[in-house]
Amino acid sequence: MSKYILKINDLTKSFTSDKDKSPLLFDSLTIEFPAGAVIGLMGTNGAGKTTLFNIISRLVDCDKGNIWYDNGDKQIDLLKLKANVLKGIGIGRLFQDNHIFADMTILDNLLIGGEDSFGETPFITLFKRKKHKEKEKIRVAKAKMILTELFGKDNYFWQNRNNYASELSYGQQRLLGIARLLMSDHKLLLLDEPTAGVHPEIREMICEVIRKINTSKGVSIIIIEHNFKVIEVTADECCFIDQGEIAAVGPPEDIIGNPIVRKKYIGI
Amino acid sequence: MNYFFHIIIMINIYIVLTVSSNLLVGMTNLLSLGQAAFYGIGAYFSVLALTTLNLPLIPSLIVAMLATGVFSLLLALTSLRLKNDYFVLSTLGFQIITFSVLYNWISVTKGPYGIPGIPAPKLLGIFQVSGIIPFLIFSTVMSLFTIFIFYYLINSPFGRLLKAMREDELALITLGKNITSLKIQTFAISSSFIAIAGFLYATYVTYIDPSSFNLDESIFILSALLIGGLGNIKGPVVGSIFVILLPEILRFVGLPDSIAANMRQIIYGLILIILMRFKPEGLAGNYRIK
Repeated sequence: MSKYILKINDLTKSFTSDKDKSPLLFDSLTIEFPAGAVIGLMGTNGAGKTTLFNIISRLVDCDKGNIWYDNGDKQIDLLKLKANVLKGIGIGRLFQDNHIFADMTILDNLLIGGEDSFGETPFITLFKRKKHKEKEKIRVAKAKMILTELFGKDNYFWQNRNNYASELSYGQQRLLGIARLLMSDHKLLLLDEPTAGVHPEIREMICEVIRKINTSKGVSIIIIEHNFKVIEVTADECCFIDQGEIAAVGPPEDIIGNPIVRKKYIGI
Repeated sequence: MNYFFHIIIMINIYIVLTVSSNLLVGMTNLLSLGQAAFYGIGAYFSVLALTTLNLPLIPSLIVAMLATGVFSLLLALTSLRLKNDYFVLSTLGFQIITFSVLYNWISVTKGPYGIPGIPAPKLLGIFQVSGIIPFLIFSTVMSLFTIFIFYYLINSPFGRLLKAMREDELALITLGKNITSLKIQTFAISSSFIAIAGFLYATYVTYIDPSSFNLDESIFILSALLIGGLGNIKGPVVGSIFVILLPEILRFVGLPDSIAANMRQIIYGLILIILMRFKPEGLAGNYRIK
């Protein structure tokens, strides 16, 4: 039985579409992410962290290599799949920018992330109204349950579920984005700087939520982060990328104390 | 009295046009300049079904809707990779090509001479929908049917997907949704229902020629949508009533016909500018085009 959730083999990616002339962002990158853990991915700006997420999410192509994903039943080469298929095999993504549907309600933002897509075709909408209304009730109940699990019984999101998501603060939108991911049963979550630009109070909430998702649901999480404290609190293991190469891997405290990392981040 | 019935019939036709177009323009933010092309395709296929195939009302309507839906896939498939201005240009191209075909394929469409004497459709082979009162009832039923269908589509999980797509395609892809399929479905449904307007127009006026389905008409449909507002049912309905009633009101002001026609264009233009500045969501819409 394999113990990885994601295994990247020999991944090569050039900066531009002209593969022969372009310098390489990743040159035969090879790394394995263990299953069931929270992995912190650190690195300076431009190191290739988000590009790596984009390749895993199938939003960007690479030049060569494989990305093996183990969903428990079988190993799948992600590079052979389309982006919209990944959710179906248990991979979720939180973007660096808030990709919240701002002109939709908080509840609709959650419902759209639901596992069950029944009623999302015109035919079903028009001719199976009774059944799709039942399914909708189940989705709403799940949204309520997730919000209660994450933020408590009388949480702000449920109480204001019919308000537009644009009325939420930036930090609240981040939390909503994470809650939306939980509407489906994911095995791997890719979180791109979930605490960037948020108030310390919300940052603590996000860290707590990340730990909770990992421990209570057993979801593997890879988190891109610049904040040492967030990595210390959330990650089981940490990986430092420098100029497209893995410069250091290990427990968060070792990585934070690593001279290469300290030199790159704080210049000492 | 017939004059008022005529106005209501025209409003009904435009309600079908704008409510259907709203699915594409208002719900998915795909600004199309090709709506009159679908309107024309629907009208010409209705005539083909009624005269050449000699079909009764409902089968003719279904033929027109299916044919227009199939033609819309041509535009959908070529436009899927295009966004924003490039998408608008592709719909403009489709509009111009369709108009040229209708205008120049004389053996089929009779080109600029038009097709006169379109027969009144027969419902169940018995009731002939001819005369102003039967047509008033028929057009009202069809516009209410269109409103009913689109109301449920908009306020359903399908409508929720469309709203999400107009806001953020990338987020929707990572949530496991197939954007290509969604766009194709939207094109097909929207244009199929526009064909109903084409059917109503052809059988009501009993004469069609390509000039009724040119670029000006596309802009007029879009103006009605933008004035009324996008993203819900109320907006297109209000827009349709407004653009049909305005010239009639000008008629009562007592302006000579030649001036009234120009005034109408000026007033539409002014209203659009004022709305875009002060009320970009239109008179009754809930979405502002981006």
